[in-house]
Amino acid sequence: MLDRSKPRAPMRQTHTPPAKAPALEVSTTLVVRRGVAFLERHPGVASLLLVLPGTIWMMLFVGIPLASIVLFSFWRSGFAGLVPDYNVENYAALLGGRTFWRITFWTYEVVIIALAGVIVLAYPAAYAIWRVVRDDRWKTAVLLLCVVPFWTSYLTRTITWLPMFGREGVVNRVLLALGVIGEPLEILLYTPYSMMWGLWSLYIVFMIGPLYHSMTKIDEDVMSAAAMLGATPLRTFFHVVLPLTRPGLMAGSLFVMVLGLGEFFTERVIGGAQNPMLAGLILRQIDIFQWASASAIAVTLTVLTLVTVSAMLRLFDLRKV
Amino acid sequence: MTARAPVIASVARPLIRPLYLAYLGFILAVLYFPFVVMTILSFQGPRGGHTFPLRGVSTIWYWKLFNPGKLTPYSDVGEFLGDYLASLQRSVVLAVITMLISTALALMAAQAFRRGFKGSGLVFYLWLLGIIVPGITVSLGLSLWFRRMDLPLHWLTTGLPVHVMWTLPFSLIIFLMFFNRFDTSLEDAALILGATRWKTFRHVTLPLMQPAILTSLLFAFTLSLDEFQRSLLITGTDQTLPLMVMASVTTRITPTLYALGTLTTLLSFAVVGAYLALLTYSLRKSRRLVEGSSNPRGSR
Repeated sequence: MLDRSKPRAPMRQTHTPPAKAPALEVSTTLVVRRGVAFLERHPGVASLLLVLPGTIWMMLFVGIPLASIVLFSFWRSGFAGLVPDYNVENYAALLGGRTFWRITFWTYEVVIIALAGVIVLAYPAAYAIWRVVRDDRWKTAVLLLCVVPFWTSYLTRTITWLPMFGREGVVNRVLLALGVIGEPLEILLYTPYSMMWGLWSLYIVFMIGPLYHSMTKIDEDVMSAAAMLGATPLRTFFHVVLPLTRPGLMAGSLFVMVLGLGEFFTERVIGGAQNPMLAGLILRQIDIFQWASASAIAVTLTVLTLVTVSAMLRLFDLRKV
Repeated sequence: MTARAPVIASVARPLIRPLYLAYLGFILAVLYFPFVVMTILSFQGPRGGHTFPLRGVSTIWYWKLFNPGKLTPYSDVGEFLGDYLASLQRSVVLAVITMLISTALALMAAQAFRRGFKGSGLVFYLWLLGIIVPGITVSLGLSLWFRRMDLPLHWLTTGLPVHVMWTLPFSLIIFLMFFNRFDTSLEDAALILGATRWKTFRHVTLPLMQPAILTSLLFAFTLSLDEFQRSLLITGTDQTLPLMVMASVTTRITPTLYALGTLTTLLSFAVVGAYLALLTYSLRKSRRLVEGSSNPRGSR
C-alpha cells in the first residue's frame, strides 16, 4: 500500500496560516484538516458518515409512520380523535368480517391481472424497439417516447381517459360512426374494465424501459448462435430472450406490484368508486374518521406488500439490474 | 408442428416487421392520444362540458385558470374555483428543494455503498422501504403522529420530509446503477498519483458522474411534482398541485382541469427536454475527459 500521509507532510507546512492569525481560526482549520486526514485514513468511518444522513432521514420518515400505524391500530377511534387503548378489536372486526377478505382478494386479482397485462403488452414493444427498429436514432427516439410519460403527471394521465371512454367519449363515438355498435357502450367508463385499462396504460412505461435495458445487454453473438443452430424466433424468445431479460422483467414487475397494491386514485376516478381496493378502503375509513380501523387495514396492507415484495426479491437482486 | 413452424415463419416473415411497427404505433397512440384529446377539450366552449361534443372554441378555461375565484357569466353552482397556479408554484418550490436534498444525500450514500460497509444490505433494504411501503400508509401514520405532536401541517415543513423520503431510494438506485457500469481506472490512476480520496472524488469521480446526477435530479423533481399518495393527509390547507387536482376531480370535473393538465404536461416535456439537452452535453464532456486522460497530448 502507498503511504499517502508522508508526501503530504511538507504541503501542510506551506499552508499553515501566519502566526498573527487569530488563535480560534487556526484551531478550526486544524481541526478540519485533522478530521479530513483522519477520514482519509479510515474509509470505514467515512462510509458511515456518508450513509448516515440519508439513512436517518429514511428511518425517521418510514419508521415513524410504520410505528404509529402499528400503535394506533390497537387504539380506539373516539369522537375527538384516537383514544389510547390496547385491544385487538380492530383486527378482530377486520379479519372476522367478510368484506376485508373480499377486498383483499379483489386487490390481488387486480394487481395480478394488471401485471400480466403489462408484461404481455410491454414485451412485444420492447422487443420491437430492440430488433425491429433498425436505425439507432429511431431506437432512441421511440424508447424515449415510451418512457417520457413516466415523467408526466400520473393524475393527469388517469384523467385523460375520462373523455376517451365516457358515454359520449371518443371510443363510443368512433364505434358508433363505424356502425360497430348500435348505441353507446356503458361498460367503457366507471367499471373495473376501464380501471384495468387505465392501470395498463399507466404502468406500461415502468416495464418497457427496464425490459429494453435488459435486452440491450444480451450479447449479439448469443442471438446469432440461436439463429444459426436453427431455433425458431419463438424458441429463441422463450429459451434465450426471456431468461436473459429476467432482471428487467423483475424490476418492472416489482414496480407495478408495489404501485398496484397502493393504488386508489384510478379506482376512484375512472373505476367508478364502487370496488375499492385495500388502499381505497383505508381512505374510506379515514373519510368517516375511523382512524384506528384505518390503521389496522394499513398495517395489514403493509405486511401484505412486504411479503409480496420479499418473495419477488428472492428471485433477483435489485442492485444488479 | 416442428416441421410446420419454419414454413409458417417463412410465409409470415414479410408480415412480421410491419406488424411489430404497427404494434409500436398502437402503444405510442395509447400513451399519447389521450393527451391530444385532453388538449383539444381544454379549448372547449364556455357552455361545454368535460367530454365531447365541443360546444364552440374558447380559451375561457385557461382564463379561469389564471383568474381563480372570479365568477363569469358562465360559472356554475359547485364549480371548483381553486387557485391552481398558487399550488403549482408550491409544488415547483417543493420539487426543487426535494430534488437537491435527495440527490445530495443519495450521492453521499452511494459513495459508501460502492465501497461496501458492514450491514450495507440491510441499510439498502431500509432505503428501499421508502418505495415499497404503500403511500397511503405513510400518509396516515405521519398525519396521526403529527396530530398527536400538535405539529402544524404545512406543505413545506411537513411535506418536504415525505417527498424526500419518496425520491431518495430512486436517486440511490440511479447512482448504484451508474456505478455498476463505472470504470474505476481513472480513479485508481488519481489515487496512485497521490491525490487524496477527496481530491479524487472532487476532480475525477464527480465530473464523470454528471449524467447520473442529472438523471437523479430529473427523477426526484418529477416524482416530487407528482406526489400525492404520501402527502395526501399531511400538507394542511395550502395544498400542492396534485392534491388540489385530486380534490377537484372528486367534486366536479371541468375543462379547467384539462387546461391545467395541458400546461403541466407541457411543463413536464420542457423539463425532460432540458434534461436531455444537459445530458447530451455532459456525456460529450465526460467522454472528452476520458479520452483526454488516455491521450494527454491530444488536441483539446
